[in-house]
Amino acid sequence: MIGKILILVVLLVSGLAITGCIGGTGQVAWSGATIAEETLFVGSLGKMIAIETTDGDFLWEETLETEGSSGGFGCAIPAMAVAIYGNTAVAGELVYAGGYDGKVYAYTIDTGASRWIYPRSGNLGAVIIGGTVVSQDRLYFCTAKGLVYALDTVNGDYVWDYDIGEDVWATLAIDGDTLYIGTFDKKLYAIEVNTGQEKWQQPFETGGPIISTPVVYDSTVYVASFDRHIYALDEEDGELVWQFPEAGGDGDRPGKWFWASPVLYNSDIYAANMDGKVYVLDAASGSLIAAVDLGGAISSTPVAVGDEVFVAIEEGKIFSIDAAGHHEEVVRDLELRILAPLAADDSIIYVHTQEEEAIYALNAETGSIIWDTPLHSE
Amino acid sequence: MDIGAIWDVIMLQPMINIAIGLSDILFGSFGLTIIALTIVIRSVMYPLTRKQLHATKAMQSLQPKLAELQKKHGKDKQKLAQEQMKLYKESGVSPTGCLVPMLIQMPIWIALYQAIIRVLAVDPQSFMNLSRYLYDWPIVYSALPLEQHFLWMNLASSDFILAIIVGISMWVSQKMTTPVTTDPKQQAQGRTMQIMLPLMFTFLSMSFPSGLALYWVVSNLITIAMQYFVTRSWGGLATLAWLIPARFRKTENGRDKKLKKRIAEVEQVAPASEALQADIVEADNEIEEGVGDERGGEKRPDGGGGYRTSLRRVRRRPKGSRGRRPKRR
Repeated sequence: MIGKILILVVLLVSGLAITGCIGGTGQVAWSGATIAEETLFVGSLGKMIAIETTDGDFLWEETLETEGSSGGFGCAIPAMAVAIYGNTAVAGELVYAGGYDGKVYAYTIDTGASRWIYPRSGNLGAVIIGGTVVSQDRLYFCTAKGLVYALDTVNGDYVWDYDIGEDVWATLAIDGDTLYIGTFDKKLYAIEVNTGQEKWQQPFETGGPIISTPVVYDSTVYVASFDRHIYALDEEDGELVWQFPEAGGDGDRPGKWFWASPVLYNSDIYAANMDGKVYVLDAASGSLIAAVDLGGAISSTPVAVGDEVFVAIEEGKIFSIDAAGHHEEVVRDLELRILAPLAADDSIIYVHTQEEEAIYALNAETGSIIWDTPLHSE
Repeated sequence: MDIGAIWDVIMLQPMINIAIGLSDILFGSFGLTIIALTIVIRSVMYPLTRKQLHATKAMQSLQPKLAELQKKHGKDKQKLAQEQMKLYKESGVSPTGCLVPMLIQMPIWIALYQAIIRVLAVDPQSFMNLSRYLYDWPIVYSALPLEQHFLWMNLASSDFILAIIVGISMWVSQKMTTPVTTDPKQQAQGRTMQIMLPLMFTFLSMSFPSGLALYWVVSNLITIAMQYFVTRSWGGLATLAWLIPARFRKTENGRDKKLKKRIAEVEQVAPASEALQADIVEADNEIEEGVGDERGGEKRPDGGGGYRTSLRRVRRRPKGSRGRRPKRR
């Protein structure tokens, strides 16, 4: 009797602990939408998709899967869907995406035909979590192990690489001849695109990982860190101009990570924190203008449209914050999980939801849904 | 607030934040953190573990008598159950004595296990989810990300060698804790557990992050150590005694001797047959010399059947003054 109870308890607890209690939802990808020539490009779990912005119809979709293999002991390893976490980039007739399988893909924007894949065979030995950026015929991206690559946009030929030697999850920012890269090991690097070498004498070090993309404006680099601070740095030498909150300062202090990238609008920095607040800072001085409480964690990067900044909280509500008075208003409650950056074109906001993965096109003024397109048909 | 949220607030969040804070002290190494946290938690729960081990041991000591009852009343289930309960009652051993402490400890083990999984955060989504559990402590925010390389392993990836160690350590632990029994059914169950669980955890370790496997290994080693030092016995491993270094092949500790003595005393006052006592001696294999022999034939004055004297009552009696209160000095 006791033996049976014991077996039952052990199996029950093992089962609960191993399967049910890990928690969380299934795997999702949170690539933001990129818009070019009336087409929206978005990476998803196992797919690269092009959607017409006029009506939400699929223009094309390409499956992204790892290759299956025979495995050991006669066990076959099935093909796995490849997630795209970072934003895609568009240049000329091609769209580029970095995959979680350690490869970069280039497709033609009108048909989705594969133009090239880098590397030509195998993978880069590390996954790609950040997005791709394009500038002057060069495609830049970084692997999660800190290898920054510059490739030729047309044929995917290797140009240079630079080993930061630290984990990188963030999408790079580019301004002029300089790339700015935040690392998981708490530093911000500046790299010259022509030489592939570091620009600053030493990287700027924060107290936490940097997942978000820095913003460059008026010779200043603004970066948000997991240490719950926003830093403004001199673009030339990486010296600190200001930080928010100031060391030992009173008042509103961000409570959680800055996962979303800061957004610059009207000379103000809008930094969304996972504590549910958007901190509006004066870009020149770093002084706090407003802390707008939206009541839910924010990991989606906001977007500016007209005179307003739009922010989505994870629970699915989309708010507008007016740039003049910093008052918030609910534009739409999709009641679906939102992690991906928002995108906008004219007065339409594009939302990539992670729950029931879909793209929603919303009228920025009324919040009405213009169209919605599920990314995975069952 | 649903039950999941309550669990997160009272169990998981504290565990995650303590793990991250501890790692800051331990040079940011998550490997050391897993080891330290497992040791600390197992130490805090030592009184419960000790109780559980003693209860298991006591159950083991009763196995020959239970087997005898099984033989005697095997066909009459009701009578068998009655006699078994009577035996438990009279010997002061609770049949659930080993389960209750284990059930109390389980939520803590599960929380520790979940905390390790979450802090390891092997993919971007897991890392994002981790933020929901963090306290507003500066130490928590400065400690992340934790160093995931430990010895030869990347704790976020599976490791074949560690998976094998998980299997071996779990087998040893199972072998030690599985009750020795003469009942063929229970023997079969015990054998299944001894093989299936280690195999299952070995395969799981091959597909789970090795940080989790490290926790299982440390936990198994602590169980083995506690089992040995609390019971002073290698349990089922005794059959492999030739593999154990001679200096560790000791007899049971004082508490076990007392327990055996108590059982023997119960038997002395009960109409237990010589054969039954022989069974106990044979099964235990380490029973104290002399116990039960001197007064083995002594019967209860009332001559009643069954084991009416409980172990607790026997323990309260000073030696050599049966039935009398000790004089105050």
